[in-house]
Amino acid sequence: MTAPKPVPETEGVERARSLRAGLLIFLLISLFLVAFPIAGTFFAPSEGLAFGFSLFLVATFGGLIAFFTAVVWIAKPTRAYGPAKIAGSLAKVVALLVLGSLATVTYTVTSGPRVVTASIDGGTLFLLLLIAPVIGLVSGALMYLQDRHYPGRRLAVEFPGK
Amino acid sequence: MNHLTLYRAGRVTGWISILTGLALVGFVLSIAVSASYIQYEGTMPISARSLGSSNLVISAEVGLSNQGVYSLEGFHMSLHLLNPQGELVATGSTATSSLPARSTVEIPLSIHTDLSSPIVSLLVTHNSTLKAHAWINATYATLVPVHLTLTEDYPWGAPFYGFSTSWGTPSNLSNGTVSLPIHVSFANYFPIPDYGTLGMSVFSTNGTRCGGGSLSLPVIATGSSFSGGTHLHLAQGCDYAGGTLTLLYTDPLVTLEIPPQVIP
Repeated sequence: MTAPKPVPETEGVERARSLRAGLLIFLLISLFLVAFPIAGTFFAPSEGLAFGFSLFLVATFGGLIAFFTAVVWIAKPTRAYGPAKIAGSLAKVVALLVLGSLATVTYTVTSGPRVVTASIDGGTLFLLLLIAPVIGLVSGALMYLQDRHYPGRRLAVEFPGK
Repeated sequence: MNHLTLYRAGRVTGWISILTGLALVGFVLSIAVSASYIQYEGTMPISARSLGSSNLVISAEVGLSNQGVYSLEGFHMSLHLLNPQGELVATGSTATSSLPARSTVEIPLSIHTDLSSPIVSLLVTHNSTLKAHAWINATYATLVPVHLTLTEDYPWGAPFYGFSTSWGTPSNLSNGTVSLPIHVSFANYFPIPDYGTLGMSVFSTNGTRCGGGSLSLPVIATGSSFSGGTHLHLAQGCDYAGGTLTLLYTDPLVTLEIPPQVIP
């Protein structure tokens, strides 16, 4: 009869740490990309602001991005790190492309007989922001290739106790 | 290839992605903050001139201040002025202009109006509140197209507000003509001074021109009133009672018909 091989203490600590970091990041990103847009849906109309996209759509994409960012952190000590990073970057690319195609903000100010309506097309800015997740995609692909061709090498460097 | 080359490249590109993302978000926020430093400083008419027999062009300047860090390019404004009944009175537009960062510019605006139209000629002697509809297109920080529509009440000040005439007793002159004293009064509420000549012609009821005269106006500043008279020289025997007095204001730039007056 042999006793079950104990999980090395360091591995458990690393997983717990990654999980904690992932959850913290999920909460932080959710605050900015989910809570603020939802709050915005209540305040924007009274401030004369109207968006070409629904703020609930922004919150949905925000939740998706927060989820994938958390998954990337949680998956860091595993071989799923590269694919998770690719998925997270793809989620950002899709979110920016969809929101960019609808990114018209209309702002109306009424002051006595004066009515000013400003319509701002932010599509180009969303396309500009795409640069970051596209580079992130490359990074994820490199990490995936690293883990595929040299299994365990990355983990040995990032988590020396493993 | 070293067994950690891909890992290192992946780490470096990962950091580049994060830093690029932060820089781009910072750039977008800086555009939003910088744009809040653009201010409209009002539209000021500076001159008026006639174009052809019935068109009047009012030149104005649209004052814009951009104290932000990015420039506003391709600024173009189109304007419609409507009377209280919603009828088109004048149209205007600016040339396409740029507003560099940390600058204040006056962009020339030309407003065209057709004085032969009865709804426009009424504005020569009547103040009104016109409705201004403006459409503005521009691009901010090279990347952000902006479209503005503006609806605003525009107080119109007539250049010959409350124009009225009073007549004296005619007298026969030795040269065989009749001298008819006339007194005119009005106020100038247009933002540009009146300083020309009033040409007057008297027509009988059957349309025959009886004669006329002119009155040189001093500089009548905006908000000032004028009251003055002259003598019209008419052909003897011409029946001007119940006829019409036509008035033409001319200065070096403008020729303007004042609505005709009925002679009592």
